[in-house]
Amino acid sequence: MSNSDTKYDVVIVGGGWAGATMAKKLGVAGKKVLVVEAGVGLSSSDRETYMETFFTAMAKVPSSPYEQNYNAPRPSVLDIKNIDPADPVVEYPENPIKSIKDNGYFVENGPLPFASTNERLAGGTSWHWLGTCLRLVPNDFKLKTKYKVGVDWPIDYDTLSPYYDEAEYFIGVAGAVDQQNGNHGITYTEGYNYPMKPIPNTVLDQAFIKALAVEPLLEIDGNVVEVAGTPAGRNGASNKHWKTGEIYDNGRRECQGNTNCTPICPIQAKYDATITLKEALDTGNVDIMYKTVACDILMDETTKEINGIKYKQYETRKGGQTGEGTVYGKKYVVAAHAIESAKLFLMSNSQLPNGIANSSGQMGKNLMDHPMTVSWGLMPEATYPFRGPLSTSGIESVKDGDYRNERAAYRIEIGNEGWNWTMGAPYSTVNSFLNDDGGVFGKELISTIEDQMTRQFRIGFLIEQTPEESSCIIPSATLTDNLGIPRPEINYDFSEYTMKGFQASRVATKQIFEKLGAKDHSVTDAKKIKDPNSGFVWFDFEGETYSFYGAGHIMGTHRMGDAKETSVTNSDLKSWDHDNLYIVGCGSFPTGATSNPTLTLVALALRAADAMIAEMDA
Amino acid sequence: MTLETFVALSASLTGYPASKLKPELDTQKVAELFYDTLIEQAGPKPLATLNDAFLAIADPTDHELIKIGIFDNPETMTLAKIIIRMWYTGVWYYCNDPQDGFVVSSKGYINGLVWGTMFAHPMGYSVSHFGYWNEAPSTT
Repeated sequence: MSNSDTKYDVVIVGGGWAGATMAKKLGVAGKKVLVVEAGVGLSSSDRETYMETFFTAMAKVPSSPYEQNYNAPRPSVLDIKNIDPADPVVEYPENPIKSIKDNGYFVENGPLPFASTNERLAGGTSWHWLGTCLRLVPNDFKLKTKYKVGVDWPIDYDTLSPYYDEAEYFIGVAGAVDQQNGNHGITYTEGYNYPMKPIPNTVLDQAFIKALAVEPLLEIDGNVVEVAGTPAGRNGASNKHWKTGEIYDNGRRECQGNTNCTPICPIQAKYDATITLKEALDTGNVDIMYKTVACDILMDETTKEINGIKYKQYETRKGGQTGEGTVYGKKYVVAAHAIESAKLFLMSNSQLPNGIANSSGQMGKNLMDHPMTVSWGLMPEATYPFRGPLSTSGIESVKDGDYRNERAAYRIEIGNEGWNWTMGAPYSTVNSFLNDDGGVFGKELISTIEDQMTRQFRIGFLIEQTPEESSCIIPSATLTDNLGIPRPEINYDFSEYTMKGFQASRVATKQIFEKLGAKDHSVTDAKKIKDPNSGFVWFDFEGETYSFYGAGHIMGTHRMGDAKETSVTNSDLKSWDHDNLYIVGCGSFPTGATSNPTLTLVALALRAADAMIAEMDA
Repeated sequence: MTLETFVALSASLTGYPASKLKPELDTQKVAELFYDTLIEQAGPKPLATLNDAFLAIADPTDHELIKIGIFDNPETMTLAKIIIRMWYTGVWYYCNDPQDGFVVSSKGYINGLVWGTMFAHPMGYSVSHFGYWNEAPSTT
């Protein structure tokens, strides 16, 4: 068996966001596709099972509905803690299940812990995404030229804009052009509208809008602080298609406001990639192998083309290996997630010592997230959290400006789940009313909950992280998963530029809370943050201690660029080194900007699919 | 402790009337669920102590009497608070350490009193219509 004998035009590693997107577009174009998915497959009862697991989980974290799979493990936020070189974690190289159970999947070298997570199952991390579908702003594509920071993208906003249009219909986004139009130079194709009308905003959003409209308007580093509705991949009221006039209908229900986008939408009103994966399979041109973990990429020594991908298979989550083999296609797409894709290339080093697709030496480097500060408090009046989607508005008006010469940008997400994320409300709040040295009960408990819990709110700053070679992922030399495949080892840190973004977020919190008349309950005291029982991860910068969270936006590990010396792929996401290889996903991002990356990831994958199809049809 | 006593005690502790905790036409049987959990998890001695202390209170609707006899009483306060937590959150906490416990069941989670008390719904279990969140809830 070899490339020339195979019936597949394209082999895709990964059935998540990018893989499903590519598979559908290629399948619709009549190409024969094989998807190789590491995780468990799709069945009609998935969502029910996951909901039951979620309901009964004590910690309702992003991974809580999805059982750990030791043959294709994933990280959990419950395993993230600061790294103490004096107190290293104890690993069991001979017992991968115990090691992963005790310490989590990532092998964290620090100095900072990597705080974001992903899922490994059909549909990928789209199972627990929030739904935010913001476009990047034009200057996000040229950070180097404009602000002498990081690198430029090999494409600009205008090049990607038609693919944003396509991605918004592909996902099914509820939004309005005037929510983002003109925001830091964002423009839309003439006549364009979103497939669905904006998701209605929450009572909390309305309180923000009202408070921020009071003169003098709050300005931060030259930008007026304004609230905008967030375009989201959640079903709302339909629009007519801007070209065909057809009423948009994707066959799924409208959002019911379950306040549970992350970790799981119970009714699939929120788009996820399983929808696209099913549509891909329905074309009749796409096959899929589940529970099949790619573990080595092979190359033709003469042509340098990829000529096979080896895999291992398993049957149960703990059972270990049950099979192995090699898949072949004329072309190959690796869409296994920013961390797993980079790991796979670096592991594939039997023919090239630095790994496949890594002549630039950039593979696995420039690991980025949108590290988050979260500030929480009590509004002066009830704004009723825990009703509606997790977030329906944000502050997008501050995410670009000359200040980016000096410090990282951020966008601000307005959260609708009270103190759930940071403090584990409502549990922690109820518990705090019943503390050891007293507390309240009966009608007094009811009125205390009514008074306080209806006023809880939080905002989250998604901070721009600059690409640094020192923040990188490599395959562990000693530790493996249950199939014997290396676990990802992560070195991670923030640049001073990024830390200055944290600094600025603390100033902004004060100003915004003051404008709202809200009482700040965020924990900023160094001693409280560093208390090992607090559960915070943190860093010190210029005399202050900052706790931070991951946004789950894992980017940068196989960046695209203009030159093969400094990037892994070109802007079509085609490998500089191997003519029949494409590498897609958020790992392609040269810089991270501040907008949640999914929409851009899908737009880039759609563009890459076009490039592949054009090549095949040529 | 009988189920009837458990419901009366729960009404005193949670502030919600027995008719809400155990409705006459009850399809959910949440009171039974939490009662069974209590019997299973609480040791016989703390349970008997709480039972006796509650039955000794002349008027269980009198907030002060419950405070002195149960809520502030070192012999009964731990279990009383565990019961309150269970009703409000659907979680059985082993002691006053709010880290350590288990969700009684999905039914227990969904029927936790805290959600309704703040005019919301359990996360992941809304039975309302599209866009309801755009307006403040009815709080009467």
